Formats: sequence, C-alpha cells, structure tokens
Amino acid sequence: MALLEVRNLTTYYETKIGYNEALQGLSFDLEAGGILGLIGESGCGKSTAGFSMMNMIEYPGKIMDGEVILDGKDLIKMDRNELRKVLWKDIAMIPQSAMNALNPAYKVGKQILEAIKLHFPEMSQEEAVAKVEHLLNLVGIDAKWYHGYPHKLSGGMKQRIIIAMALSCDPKVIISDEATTGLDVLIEAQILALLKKIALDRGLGLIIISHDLNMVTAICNRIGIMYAGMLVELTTTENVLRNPKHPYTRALFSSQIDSKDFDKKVTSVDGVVPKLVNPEDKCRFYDRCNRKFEMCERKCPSLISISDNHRVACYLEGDNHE
Amino acid sequence: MNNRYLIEANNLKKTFDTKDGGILKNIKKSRLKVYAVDEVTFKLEPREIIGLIGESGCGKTTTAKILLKLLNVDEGELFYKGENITHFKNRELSEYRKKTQIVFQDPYEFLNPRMNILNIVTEPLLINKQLNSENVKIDKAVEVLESVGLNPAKSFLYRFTHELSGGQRQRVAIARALILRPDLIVADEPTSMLDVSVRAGILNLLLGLKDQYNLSMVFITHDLATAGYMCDRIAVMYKGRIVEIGPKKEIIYNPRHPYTKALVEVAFDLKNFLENKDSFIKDGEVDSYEQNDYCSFEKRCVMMDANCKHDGHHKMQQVGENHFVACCKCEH
Amino acid sequence: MKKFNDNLKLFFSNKLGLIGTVILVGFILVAIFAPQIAPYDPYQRIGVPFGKPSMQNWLGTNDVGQDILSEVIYGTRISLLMGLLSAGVALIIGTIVGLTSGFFGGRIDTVLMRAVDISLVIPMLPLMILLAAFLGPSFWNIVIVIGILSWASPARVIRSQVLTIKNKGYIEAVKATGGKSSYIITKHILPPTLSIIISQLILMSSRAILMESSLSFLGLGDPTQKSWGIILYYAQSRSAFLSDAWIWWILPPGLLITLLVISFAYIGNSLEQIVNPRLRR
Repeated sequence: MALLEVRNLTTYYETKIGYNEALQGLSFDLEAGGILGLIGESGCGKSTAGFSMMNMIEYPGKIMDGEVILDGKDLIKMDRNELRKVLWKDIAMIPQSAMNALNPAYKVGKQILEAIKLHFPEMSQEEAVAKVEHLLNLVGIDAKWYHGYPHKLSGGMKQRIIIAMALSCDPKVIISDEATTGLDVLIEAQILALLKKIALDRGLGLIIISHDLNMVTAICNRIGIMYAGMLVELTTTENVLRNPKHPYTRALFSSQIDSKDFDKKVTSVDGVVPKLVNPEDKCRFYDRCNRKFEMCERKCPSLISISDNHRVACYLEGDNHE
Repeated sequence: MNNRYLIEANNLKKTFDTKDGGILKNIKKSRLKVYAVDEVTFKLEPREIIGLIGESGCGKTTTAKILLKLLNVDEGELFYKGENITHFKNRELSEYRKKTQIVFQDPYEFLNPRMNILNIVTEPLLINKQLNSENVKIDKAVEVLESVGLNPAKSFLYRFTHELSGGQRQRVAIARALILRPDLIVADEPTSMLDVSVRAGILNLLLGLKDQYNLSMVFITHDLATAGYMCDRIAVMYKGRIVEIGPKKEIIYNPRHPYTKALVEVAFDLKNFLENKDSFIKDGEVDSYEQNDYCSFEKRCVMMDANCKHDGHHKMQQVGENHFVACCKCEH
Repeated sequence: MKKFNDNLKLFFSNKLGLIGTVILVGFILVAIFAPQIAPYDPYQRIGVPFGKPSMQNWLGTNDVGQDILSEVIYGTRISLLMGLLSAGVALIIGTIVGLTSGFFGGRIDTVLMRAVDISLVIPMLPLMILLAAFLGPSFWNIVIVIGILSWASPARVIRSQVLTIKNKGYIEAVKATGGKSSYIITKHILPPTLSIIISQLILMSSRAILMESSLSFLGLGDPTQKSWGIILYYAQSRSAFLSDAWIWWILPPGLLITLLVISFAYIGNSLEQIVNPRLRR
C-alpha cells in the first residue's frame, strides 16, 4: 500500500462570476522513500494542490471532492482538531516564502522547540532541546545558532531552519512548495541535496512542487506535469526525459536550453493559459496545442494509463478515444 | 583608447557603507565599507553579448548601473567608443543615455501602472524632446511594438500593463528600451520572472533584435544555461570581482575557477552535483559582507590551502584564448 | 476610469463619509447663497441691541443690534473660506517640503525632517497667539499664520508616499532614459501622491477651522470679518455667558463649528481609507 494516496482531489475558488476550477481531479500515489515532482507554470494549480493535500484551503477556496489518504486516514474528512494532530506530525509543508515564516522576535532554537513541544507534550525539556540541536546539525547549521535571531541568518540558512522545523515532528510526508525559489543556485542545489538525502535516509515521502524542470528532473524519481489545474502526465523521470507523451510536456522540453548545443533554437509555447472560471469542456491545452484534432474540442481527456507507470491525459496516446 | 570597443570598463570600483551592527556601532559611526564592485575590467565589442553571472549580491547589477551611469564609480574609468565618459555630466550624459538602455527583471515594476502602453513606449522620446506630433508618436510606437512581436500593435496602444501577460509586459519593456535606437542594452535578468514556456520567446526576440539593430548587450543572469544560449562571452562574478571571463564555450566546457565549476555542474548536471556536492563546494553559508584581502572565495572553495592566503587578491591570468581566471590554482 | 468608479463606490459605501459629504455640501450651498438666505445684512443695525429671539430676529440681535442669524449665515462663508485657504497654504508648504525631502533624500531630507519634528513638538496655541499678535489681525494674516503652523504633518505623510514611489522600478527606468528630476516629479511622483494631498487637505481644513475660531475667539481675528469665531468673541466680550443670551448667541455658531469640523473629519477619514489601503478593514 502506498504511503500517501491522493484521489480525485478537486479544489475550486469562489469568484463573483462562478467557480475558478484551480485544481481538477488530482490523483497519484506516493511510496515511502519516493520523491514526486509536481511541475507546472504559474497558475497551473500546483500550490493549490499542495495546500489541498494538507486540507489547508481557506475561503474563498473550497475542496469540492477527493480523498487524501495517509496511513489509512482521509485528511479531507477530518475536522480541525483531528487535523491539528496530523499536520506537522504526519505531513509537513515547507512553504514558498519560508524566509518570512520565522518570527523575528524569537530565537531560532526556541521556535523549533515550540513546534516539538506542541506535538509531544510528554517530552522533557532536555530531550526536546537535544532534539532541536540534533535537527540543526542535520540541516547543516551550527548548534551555536540555537540562540541566534532570524535576522542574523542568510536566506539559505533560514530555509534550512524551516526544513529543520518541518522535520521536527518526524513527519512521514513532506511537501516542499517552491521552497528554494529565490535562493542562489548553489545554495539551492545544496539545500536540495540535503532534502533528498534526508528523504532517502528516513524513508520519507517527498513532494516537490516547482516550476524548474532542471531541478525536478534531477531530484525526483517520479514527475507529474500540471497544466491549467490538471495533471496531464504522470510518470517516472526517465520517461519524462526520454519519452514525453503529452504535447505540453514536449513543449516544455523544447523551451529548455540544450547544454550540448547552444545554437539549437529554443521554442516558446504561443498563447496563454485558459481562464479557469467556468471553463469549456474541451482539452485545457487545446488553444496552445499544435497537434489538436476535432476530438480534443469535444471533451476534456482524462488521465489514463498507457503503459506501466506512465499516465497521460491526451487523445493521441493509448486508447483514450472513448 | 581604442575605438574598436563599444564599452571599455577599466578597474571599476564602488563601495557601499553597510549599516550592519548594533546601536552602539551606529553611534560610533564605525561603518563597514563593502566593495560592491572591485577591480572590474572588461571590454565589449559592437554586436557582442556579454553575460554577467553570479549570485545575488555579487555586484552584477551594480556593474550594470555603473555602465548606465546610474551610479558613479569611486575609482576606475569607463570608455564609450574610445571616449572617456567617467565624469560625464548634464548634456553629454543625456546624449550618452540615449545610446544605452536597460531592461529590468520585473516588467511589472518597471512599467508605470498608471500609463498606457503608448505613453510608456514613447516616454523616452518625450524626455529627449523628439516628439513633434501625436501622429509621429503613434507611428513610432506601432513600429517599435511590431518589432518586438506585439501584433497587431494598434490594439495594444491604449491598454494598461495589468491587462497584459508577463511575456507581453516584458516585450513592452523591450520596445521602450529600443525606441531611441540604442547601441547598448543592459538586460537585468529579463526572463527570471517569466514562465519557462514564455522565456524562450523573449530570449529569441532579444537575439533577433541584436542582429536587426546591431545591438551590444550586457546580459545579467544567475542561470548559466541562459547565459550559454544568449552570450558570446561570459564573466563570472563573485563578491564584486570577476573571477573568470572568457568565450562561453570555454567557460562552460572548460571551467577553471572552482566557483565556475560548481555553477556549471549545477546548471548542466545537477544530478551529479547533488550526489557529489562536497567535491564542488563546501557546505554551509557565508556572510556576504565579510571581506578579506586575499581570495574572496576562500570560505567555500574545495581547493583552498595555505598557498591561497598570500597577500593581495588573485590577479587575472590567461589560461586560454581570451580566457582569464583569478585563481592561483589555475596555471596553464 | 473603472478604478475611479470603484473608489467612488468605496467612498460612498462608508456611511460616515457620505454623511460628511452631505453636511459639507449643505455648508457650501449656504456659503454661496448667503445673501439670498440671510434675512438681513449682518453689517446693518436692524433692531435694538441685545434683542431676544423674535419672529423678526430668530436668534435675536447682538450688542449693536445686528441680526445674529444673518451673522451666522454670512459667517459660514468666512469660516469655510478661511479654513480651506489656510489648509491650502499648509498643503502647499507641506507638499513642497515632502516632495523635496522624499525625492532628494540625504542631507536635505535630514534638515527638513528635523524642522518637521520641531514644528510638531512646539505647543501650537501659544506660538499661534504670538504670531497672530505680532502680525496683527487681518484675514490674510490669519490664513498665513495657520498655514505656516500646520504644514508639518502633511509634509511627513507626503514624504513617506514619495519614498515608496521613488523606489519603484519605473522611476529608475526613467532616470536611465535621461529624465530630469523635475520631469520625474511632475510626471511620475506627483500624480500618485495627489490623492494623499487631497485627503490631507480635507483633514487640514477641519483643523484650520478650529484654529481660526480659537484665534478669533481670543480676539486675534480680523474684527471686520464676521466669522463664527468673531461672533463668539463679541458674544464673550459682551458677557453673553452670564445671561440667557448664550442660547442664541453662543450655541449656534459653536454647534456649527463642531458640525463642519466633524463633516471634514468624516470625509477626510474615508478618503484616507481609499488612499491608504492598509487602513481598510
């Protein structure tokens, strides 16, 4: 059984003119020790996906449908009190602007300590402090920073502290929502290496939400490509790199610069992401696709298996022809 | 000075005061001087694109602002077509500014949200008193908007920036930079805020415009892959200094400085970097204000040893054709 | 245009702002049509001195037999005009100081902001009395005294707005194109600051009206102009407080001052909520 099962997760945002269908029918499994990348451009619903998995969507957003099953329990059906016990302890998130997630008025170590004490009230002070020091060490921060204030830390160090906080209650799943965006490339790479190592060592499930193809293909073993609120392709990293099927996935790769041949022209995808408020029932990539045919306009294709470990939402693949 | 080069930067230096430190330090006025740009020297030929690459705070944007004369240097000289422009003022300065333009990272920030596209694009003409009539204004705007691929240009004239997509906004910003027909465009991370699928369009547009208008470009980026695609030469900066400069293929396929090596690995073989990161760079964070009088990369360098700590910063030495490195570990 | 309509909607969605506007419009109409509304010429003796309210003189007459109701109606003119003009003077000084200080920064900024601090700290009333006494009572002297004593707080508000705009990317872009400071200020900095200037003008007006009334009440106003403050001054000096006369001689102008100040404050506050989104709840 998979560690985390997400089934048909659907989140809409209420607007004056109808629902914005920001996330539509997201389904995937995550094994222990697995690293799944969710990749897509701005407005593709990847951040909504992250918050929906934690059942942390707030008004005007609303989870319309779906299940997020962790350890046999469905997070979506939980009320606030049950949820509070599960979040951080079983599933934790490293948010997008982690730099601002630290309270400037408290010492760094204290903030991690708080999180631990909240979830393990039976733990003694000494144990908890020892655990914080162990965590700081784990993320590569000198224990002397236990008594430091956040403004003394650089962006990369703050990010490491946030990772330590996410790890503080030994979660089984960590969601990283663009956690390294905005950091310098070398720092980003070092932090990614750290995350990957921790995930593998501890057998965590790691979900990396990002817009950076290079980064996701290097760190993840499975990748889901999202477009306009839907998963359009879900497969192993090898398949994404060697054998991408969905026209959008292919377009993404042809817009990447080839390190072997800088003279090879990169191409962009013309057009814009469709409006997601009351969308038509056609393939959401229809307007920008260069391989569309009449079928694509009639009904939005669903994600189907075309081979082991390879699922695509496109009528050109498999027997998706109704 | 030689007329062959469009821009010659000679030993540029610029320091900033930091206000870091406690209350007491401020009272004592013992502020730390930090070299934002230190001994930066390079030449730019006509129709050449040079890439400035490095992490945030490495001085690449400061260098760009010095080139545009938005900042004055403390030391060093700047030449434009062989003419010393270091101390240009008023009239001479505004003549120079017509020839140099900038495209910023965030087009939303760069374009005044209260002005329509027509006024944004033609503002440089207005400032330089080249607008005679409303018709000329519209004609010029249409022409330049078409050249950046905003078609049909007429339909964009009276729209505002919030009605455009990110890629379109950046095109407007480029159009505005082009309207005075400059020789030099400084592009400060022009694609870092854009989606991947749009980025390619902007990069290709800039390359096309370079050929069409015989432009030179200073292309600032933190992404070596983008630099490899866009530039003829690449200068790698670290803590205000150029640590390696050379033709792009030399830099990417034959990097010599340990910092460049790490950057190349991250950009082109991230998987390998993640597995063997300790052979490329030392873990841990470095305070960017800290400066010493020997190698600035000392704290993070994997090749560091006692020999590196001799007096004075490492001088640039040639390691290949047009390829210079500031590292004492890089002999021929 | 759409934004303007939105703001209008926002303004009128605020009940207090709406009430303030209605009251202010009422005052402005009274001020404009004073000759038509007022039953008598306030400078003419039309009855016995110290007359009680009657069918002819609803609010009675003053010490020289002038109609108090007419005085109060004409007083709207003077008080309103005085308030707006003084606020205008304060805003002109404040805007210039705020713009220069914010835009040029550095030493100029330091010097100007210290001046602002000093002028905010000094007790206003004694200085005002001193200045008014020194300059002598006349309409324009009062305007100037109030103006030069209340520029500091608008200057500070405007400066902070200029500082936020100055650091926007497009200002730098204009500089890179060769735009001069004067061009940048008039074209890029002033327009977005205008809304703040207007809301400050309204708030300052209410303060200026109060100041004018206080000055006049203390006998430092222009005695030839019948403002509400001057009416109060004469009422006070003819011992109206000691007789029943306060009900028709002192209460009406006093209430009107309060009402006008409140209306300005309501409008100013709801304008400020539009201009400064952080104040929105």
